[in-house]
Amino acid sequence: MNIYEPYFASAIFVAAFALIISEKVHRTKVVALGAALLLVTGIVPLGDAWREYIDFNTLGLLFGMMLIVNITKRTGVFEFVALKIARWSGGSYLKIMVGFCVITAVFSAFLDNVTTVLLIAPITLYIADLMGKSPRSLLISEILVSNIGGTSTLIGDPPNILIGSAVGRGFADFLTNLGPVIVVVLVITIFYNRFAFRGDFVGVTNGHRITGYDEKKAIHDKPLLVKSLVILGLTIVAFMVHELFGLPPAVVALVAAALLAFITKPPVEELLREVEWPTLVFFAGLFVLVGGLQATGVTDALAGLIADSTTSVMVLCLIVLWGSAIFSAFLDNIPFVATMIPLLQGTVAQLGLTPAQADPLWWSLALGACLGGNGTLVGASANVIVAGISERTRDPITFRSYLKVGLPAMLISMVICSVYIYLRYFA
Amino acid sequence: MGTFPQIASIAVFAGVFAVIISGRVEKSKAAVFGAALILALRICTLEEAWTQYISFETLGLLLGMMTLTAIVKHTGVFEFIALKLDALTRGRYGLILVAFSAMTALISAFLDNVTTVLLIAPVAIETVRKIKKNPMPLLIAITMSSNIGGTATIIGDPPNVMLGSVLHKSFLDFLVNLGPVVLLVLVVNVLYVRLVFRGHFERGGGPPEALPEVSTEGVIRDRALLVKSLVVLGLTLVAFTLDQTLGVTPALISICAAALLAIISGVDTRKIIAHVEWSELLFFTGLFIIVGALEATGVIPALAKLVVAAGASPLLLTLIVLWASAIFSSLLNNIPMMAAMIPLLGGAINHLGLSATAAAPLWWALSLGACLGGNGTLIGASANVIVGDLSQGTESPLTFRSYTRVAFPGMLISIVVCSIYLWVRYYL
Amino acid sequence: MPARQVRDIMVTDLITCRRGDKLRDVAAMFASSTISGVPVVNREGKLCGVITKLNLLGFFLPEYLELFADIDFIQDFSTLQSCNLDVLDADLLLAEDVMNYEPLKVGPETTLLKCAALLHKHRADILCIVDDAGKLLGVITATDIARAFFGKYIPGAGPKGDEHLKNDG
Repeated sequence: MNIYEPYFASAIFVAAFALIISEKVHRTKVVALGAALLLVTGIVPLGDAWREYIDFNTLGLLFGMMLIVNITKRTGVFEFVALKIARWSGGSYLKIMVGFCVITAVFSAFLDNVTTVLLIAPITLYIADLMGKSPRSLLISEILVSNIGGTSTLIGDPPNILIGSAVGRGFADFLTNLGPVIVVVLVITIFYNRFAFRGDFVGVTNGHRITGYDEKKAIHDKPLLVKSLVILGLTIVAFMVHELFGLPPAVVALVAAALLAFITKPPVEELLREVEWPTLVFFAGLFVLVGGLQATGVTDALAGLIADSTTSVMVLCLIVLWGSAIFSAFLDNIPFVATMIPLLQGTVAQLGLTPAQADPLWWSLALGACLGGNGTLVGASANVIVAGISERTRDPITFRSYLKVGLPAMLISMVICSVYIYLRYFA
Repeated sequence: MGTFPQIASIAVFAGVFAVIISGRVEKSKAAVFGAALILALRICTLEEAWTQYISFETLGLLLGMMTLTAIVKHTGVFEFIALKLDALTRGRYGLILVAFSAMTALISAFLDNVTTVLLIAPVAIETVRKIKKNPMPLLIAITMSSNIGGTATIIGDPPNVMLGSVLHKSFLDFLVNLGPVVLLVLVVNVLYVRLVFRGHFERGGGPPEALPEVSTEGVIRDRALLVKSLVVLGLTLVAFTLDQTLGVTPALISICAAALLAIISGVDTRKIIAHVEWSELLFFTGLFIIVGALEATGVIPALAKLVVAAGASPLLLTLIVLWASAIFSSLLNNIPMMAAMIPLLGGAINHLGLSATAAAPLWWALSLGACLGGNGTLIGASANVIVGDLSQGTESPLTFRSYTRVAFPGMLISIVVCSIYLWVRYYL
Repeated sequence: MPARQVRDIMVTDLITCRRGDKLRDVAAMFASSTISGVPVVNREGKLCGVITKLNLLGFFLPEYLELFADIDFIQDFSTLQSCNLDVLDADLLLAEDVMNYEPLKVGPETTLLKCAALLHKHRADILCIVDDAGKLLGVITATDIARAFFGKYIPGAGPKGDEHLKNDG
C-alpha cells in the first residue's frame, strides 16, 4: 500500500459524504460510484470487500424484514389497528394522540420506521379530517415516537442493525439495554407532545365524530392476515432466542420471509419489486467506502487519536451520545454510524476494554444516532416522508414549526439517556 | 449414509423438486424456501452459503446478459430483423423456414432464447399467414432452433452459463467445441422439419407478387440506441473471445458491458431493472445453496463414487451423460438437474483421475444433452412454452402432443448426431 | 377496406371552455349534457388541457385518499370535513385548477382501432383530435368508438345502423 492510499480513500469518502448531503445526486449512485472507484483502484480488493467489509448479515436482515413487512402490510392489519384505536378513543383528542403514539412506537420497533409512518400517516389524515382538525400535531408526534420506538430493538432502526451485527449484540441485548430507557423517553415525549400541542386540545368536543367507517373492512385478506401475523409472531420470538440456536438474525429474517412468501400468494416478481433495492445497494456501497478507510488504516489512526484523548469511558460515552445526536439531527445517520463503528471498535481495542466495558459505548451510539433523528425535519427518513405527505395538506409541517417542537423533545430525550447511561453503567 | 445433514439436504432437494414439478408454487419461492430451510437447520452457515455455494459467476453472467437483452429489445431490432427476413424471402415457405431458423439460432446463441422467440415468433406467424400457409412447421422450427443455437455459446442457454461459470470455461471453449456440432444439428433439424411437413412446402397458394409490401418503416424505435447496442455487443463479443488473455471472467465482461450500455443508452434505469428477471436469479441462488448443501454433507461425493464404481469407460460415461441429461431435460426443468450434475460429474471425474482434456467430452456431453434435450417436449424449455402460447391464435395451435410428435424424434436425431460427434472428435 | 379514421366519426360540434372560466360553469356543462369531458382551449383554439368527469369528481375528495391502497373501510364520506361539495359556491375556482394538463391527443388520420387502443391503455374516456399546430378539431369518446364498431349488432340495424343513433354527446 502506497502512502497516497489513505488520502485517496479519505478523499473519496469525504466527497461522497458531501455529495450525499448536497442532495444533488442520489445517495445510492454516489456510494456506488465511490465504491467502484475503491474497487477498481484496488484500495479495497474485491475479495476483501466481499468477505470482510460488506456486512451481509445487515443486508440479509434488511432484505428479510422488507419482505415480511411488504407481505404483512398487504393485509391492511396496520390500518385496522389504527382505526380501532381511533374508535376506542371515542373522539377524545388526547386518547387519539396517545393511542396513535403508542402504536406508532410499537410498530416502529418491529418494522422499519418509514413503512410505519407510511401506514399511519394516511389514517392520521383521515381521522384528523373526521374531527375537523389539522393533522399537523398528530403527524409531528408520530415522527417523534417512530424514531423513539425504533431505537428499542435490533430491527427497529438501521443504525441498530449495523451496530448489532458488527459487535455481535443480539435482539435480546438491545431490548434489555435500551428497552427501559426508551419506555421512559416515550412516556416523557408523549407528555411533552400534550404540552407542546396544548392549543389543539382546547375546545374539542366532537366525541361522536369518529364514525363513518368500518375498520373491519380495512382487512383485505383474512387468510393472508392469519399467516402473516403468525409468522411475524414466530419471527419475533425467534429473534428473542436466536442466540440460543446459534442463528444470526439475518437467517431468522430470511427464513421467516422465505416461509411467508412460500405459503402466500403474491408472486416473487411483485415482492422483489417492492424491496427497496436502492437502500440495499446504498448499504453495500457504504460498507465498501468505510472499508476503504479501514483498509488504509485511517480508522485505526483516528481511533488512536480518540483513545489517546479519552480520560474516562463515561465521558467518552456522553460525547458519543451527544455527538451522534447532533450529527444525526442534521445529517443521514447511517453513514455516520457505519463510520463510527470501526472507529469505536479501534478505540475499544486500543483502550483494551472488555466487551462489558465497551457496551455502554455502543448503546450510547445507538441512542444518539437513532433519537438524534428527531431533532430536525431532515434528521431521519421517516421525518422527510411525513413532511412530504404533510406538504399536500392545508397545514403543512414546516422546518421551523417542526424544529420548535422536535429539537426540545430530542434534547430532553438526550438528557434522559445521559442520566440512564450514567446510572446503569457507571454508578 | 445416514447422518441428519445428509438426509435433511436430500429431503429438501427432493421436496423442492417435487414442488417445482407440481407447479403449485412459483419455482423461485420453492428454491428460496428450501435454501432457507437449509440455513435454518444449520446444515450450512450463511457465510458458507454466501462465499462458497452461490456461484456469483453464474448470477453475474445471467444478470449481465439479461440486462443487455432488455436494453436491446427496446430498439425494435428483433422485429426489424424478422421483417427484413420476411421481405427477403418473399412468399417461399421453404426459404422462410431456413431463414428464420438460421436467424433464430444465431440470435439465441447470444441473447436469451425466450426473448428471441417472443419477438420473432409473432412476425413469423404473420409472414406465413400472408402466404396463406400454416405456421405450425415454422413455429416448431423456430423453437427448436432457439434451443439449438443457444447450445453453441457460454451465454446462449442457462445450463451453459452454469457450466461455463463454475468450471471457468471460456467463450471460445464453448464455441470451438460445440460450434461445429451445433451447426450440424441445426442443418439436420431444419431438413428434418422440412421433411416431416413436406406437404406444407409444396408450391401453391398465392403468387408472391400479390403480397403486400413489407414496411420496415419505424420499426427501429431508437436508431441511436441501436447503434450503441450493436457497438457494445460487438465489443462484448471481442472481449469474450479474448477473456483468457485479458484475465477477466465472462461474468465480469457481461456486467461491465451491461453497465456501460445502461449508462450510455439513457434508458431509464427503472425500466431496465424491471425487465431483469430477478425471480430467475433468486431461483438460481436458492438452488445453489441447496445443491451446495448436498455437496458439503457428502451426498454428492458418495453418489460420484457410486457412478465410478459402476466401471464405465469414459466413452460410455460420456454417452450415458449425454442421453440421460437429454431425456431428463426434455421432461423436467433442466436447471436443478444441471446444478446437481455439475458437482456430481466433477466428483466422478476426480475419482476416475481424469485429466482436464480427458474430462472435457463429459462436460460437453452434459451441455449438449441439457440444452438440446429441451427440444423434446413442449415443456422442455421456457422458449417452447412461450411459442406454444403464441401459437394459440393460429390455425394449428401447438399442443403438447402435436409438438412432441414432431420434436421428440427430432431431438433424438440431434442427440444421435451429438453421440457420433463426441465419439469421433474426442475418442477416435 | 381501408381502416376508418377518427376524423370520420369525431364530434366536431364541441363544448369547450377556457382556462380562466369559472369551474362551476364547467360543472354546469357536465350536469346539463352527457359529455365525458370538456376540452380546454386558448384564444386561438389550441388545445391546452381537458377536464373529465373524474377530474371534477376527484376535486371534491380529500387528497389523502390517494395514499391509501384501499378505501373500503370508509363507509360514510359525509363525516369527512374536507369533503366539501359546496366548495364551488365560492366563485374562486377556475378551470385551470382542475384540468388535466396533458390530455390524450391524436391527429385526424389516426385509425379508430388505434384510438381504441390508446383509450384502453391510458384508461381514459376522451381523446382530443388536433391538427399539426395543436388546434382542436374534435373529440372522440369510447362511446363513439363503440357505436362505430358495434352498431352493426343492433337488432334491426340496416347498413347504416350507426347513423340513426346520432344524438348529443
